[in-house]
Amino acid sequence: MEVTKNTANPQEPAYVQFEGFSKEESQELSKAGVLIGTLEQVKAWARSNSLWPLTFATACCGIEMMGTGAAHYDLDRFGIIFRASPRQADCIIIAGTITKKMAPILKRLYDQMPEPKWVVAMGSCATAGGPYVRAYSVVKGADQIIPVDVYIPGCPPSPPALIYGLNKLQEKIRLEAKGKKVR
Amino acid sequence: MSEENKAPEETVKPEEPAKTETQSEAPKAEAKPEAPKADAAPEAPKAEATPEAKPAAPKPAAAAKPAAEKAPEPEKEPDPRLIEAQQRLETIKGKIATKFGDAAIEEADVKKITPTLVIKPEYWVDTVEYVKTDPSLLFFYPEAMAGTDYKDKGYIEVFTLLHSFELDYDIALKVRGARDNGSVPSITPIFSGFNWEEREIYDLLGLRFEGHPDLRRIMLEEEWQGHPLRKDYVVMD
Amino acid sequence: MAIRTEELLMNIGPQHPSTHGVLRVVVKVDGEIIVDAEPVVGYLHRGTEKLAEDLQYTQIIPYTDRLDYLASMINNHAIVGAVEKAMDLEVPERAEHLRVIVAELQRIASHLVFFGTYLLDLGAMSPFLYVFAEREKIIDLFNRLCGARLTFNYMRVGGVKWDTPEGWVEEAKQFVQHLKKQMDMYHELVTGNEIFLNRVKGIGKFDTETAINFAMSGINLRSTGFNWDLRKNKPYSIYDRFDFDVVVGENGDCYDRYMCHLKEIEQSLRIVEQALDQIPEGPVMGKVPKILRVPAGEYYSAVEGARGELGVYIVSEGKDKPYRLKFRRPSFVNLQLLPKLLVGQSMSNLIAILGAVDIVLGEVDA
Repeated sequence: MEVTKNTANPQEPAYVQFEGFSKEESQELSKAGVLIGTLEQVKAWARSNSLWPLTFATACCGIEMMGTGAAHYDLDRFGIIFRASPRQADCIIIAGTITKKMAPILKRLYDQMPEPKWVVAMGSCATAGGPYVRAYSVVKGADQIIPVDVYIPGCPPSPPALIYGLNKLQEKIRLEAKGKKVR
Repeated sequence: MSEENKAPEETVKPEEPAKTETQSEAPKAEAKPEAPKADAAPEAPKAEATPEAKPAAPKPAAAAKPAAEKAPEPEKEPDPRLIEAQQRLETIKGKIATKFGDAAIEEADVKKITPTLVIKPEYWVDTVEYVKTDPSLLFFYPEAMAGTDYKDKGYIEVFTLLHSFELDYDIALKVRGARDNGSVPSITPIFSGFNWEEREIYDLLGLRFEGHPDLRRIMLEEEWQGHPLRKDYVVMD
Repeated sequence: MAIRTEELLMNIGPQHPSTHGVLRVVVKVDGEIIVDAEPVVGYLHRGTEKLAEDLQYTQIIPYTDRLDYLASMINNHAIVGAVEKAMDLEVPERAEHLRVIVAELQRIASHLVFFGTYLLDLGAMSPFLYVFAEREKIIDLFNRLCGARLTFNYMRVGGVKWDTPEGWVEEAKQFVQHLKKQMDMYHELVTGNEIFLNRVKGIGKFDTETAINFAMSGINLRSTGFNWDLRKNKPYSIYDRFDFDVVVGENGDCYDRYMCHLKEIEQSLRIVEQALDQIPEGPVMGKVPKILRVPAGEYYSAVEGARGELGVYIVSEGKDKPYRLKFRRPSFVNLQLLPKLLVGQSMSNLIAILGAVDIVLGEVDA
């Protein structure tokens, strides 16, 4: 556990930066060992640190998603573990092109997921159709079918980009619990 | 698990007809023209290209006429592969003509270095069966199939590439069907490998294959309107 | 007393972790035994061939990256090779060597993914983690070469886009030595494993005649004992200059296909090693016209892809765009045999057989 000390302001006491907490919260927690928050905040903290995404790898991005989950980048350290069933998943990473034939299945998978649920559109195909935007059989973005929380650009996005996007989703979950509107 | 290079003939066709012995020399010779060309290449480009270290999008090429593509060395003698292709085309054409009559062949030509025959639809299945089973041809490896829509000429052409391990050679056979509600006989019963290819052509080009065991759309949904690979298909959104 | 059984229709996919993408298989089972199976494809049909009709030849190259996305470099090689053959263009020596090096490294990466995911399908987790760490090293090499990790867009008609950065060749040589050692470990880890052998030996068998009639190519055809490798039989690029063996199997079962993949990695390493030693200095891009116009006519040209014969059929009208472009996709062709292999097998063998056929859905559906 790393102790952070504010060198610019020596008056401020040193504190421990806890995973998933803001600076103020961490200071509070370091000082007293107790943090007062709403139940929603506690739930959001827990949820954001155990995001279980559904493996929905349709195309090239799926390989990068697999690479992110494997040894080198290791998504597990963020509490993100892939699930094969939508019933067990909290979020869905749409990794690849959505065709018109696939669209009803994506909708159905999304409906099968229990609330609360989040959607990450990985790569330009899932964001807006990508290089296949002019193709006859491709849906121009997953948000035409289900609501998307985080868009990750790239064709395909590199694993660090995917990790960044998922971190943004975690941030969003925590902020929303505090009543802030995130878009 | 053995890594030795077995000759293809050993494994597939145990008995070899006497006729192929004379022809088996030809494929070896056919592969040769590649080798000297590749060996000669190192000196030629190096000598002229060392001054310019990084010719990304080379300027001299832009000055040259783009359409007029010529071989780098001005060799006047024709490509030996082309000569061989013409000879083979004549042989195969003659064989098909003696078997089914001249009416079976609509067109015969060498495309690049591949002998290409356009067969009339009514002779299509018989001809494919013949080139597959005739002991002097034995084109029994179905390599590729493709459909092309020729809107101006009013037909859809099916291109098939067959390979013969005996002759170590490729030929292209073609058949044409009308664009509007056209159909050609299916050769899936002869080559199972063309099953999905024919379905794909039916799906994307709308050419029916009579006698196909399972002719349904393969890539798109059953309710899809139109055939996308046709030249007059309009993408909706 | 006989147990009363009933036929049951079961749907697998398109969202299933072991179908390697979005393949759907509808199987009819009688108890545990499969009586009928039908693969349903097209869930990733993106209309590449239609798009290509509206693109210049150079613009098509990035689309081929996304066909078989585990072997993008080889796809690049197929399209640029086809255009070069049609236009009779010369490619500089260094570019040819670089092409062979990256294509073979890509084949290794692709086979490594096969190895990892196949074992993952059969229930072993660790090989997957091992091979992705190895694959990451190849991807890093490619990344330094062309700046991308998966969709490289590296080759151009007439050469390759970038020359090697400093020290790249040395690094690649080190990697080859490293992977050679690792391969022994993989064999120790998996090949002798009793559970693994029981799941793959004698499963999903087919003979050469069936394979040829079904137009199979690549490892699926070679695993039956038939020697057919386009790198040897129809030499393209500069493959005829390298010393390597074509790996063939004996029985055509899943075990042979697995072994062929691993042995082919070793052969590819041999080619990479030789090519890295022989690579000459010089330009990496030949003299090509600014706008590529393929002379009117029809051309077919094929390369040995990671999964079989990857062919490109071009119909040109002499313009800068193809009139029709068709990819002969090996995964699509190889998958046709699947129903025949599944019938009569038990349900638990389905994934083992499907995994060994080694398909990539981007290529099946195009």
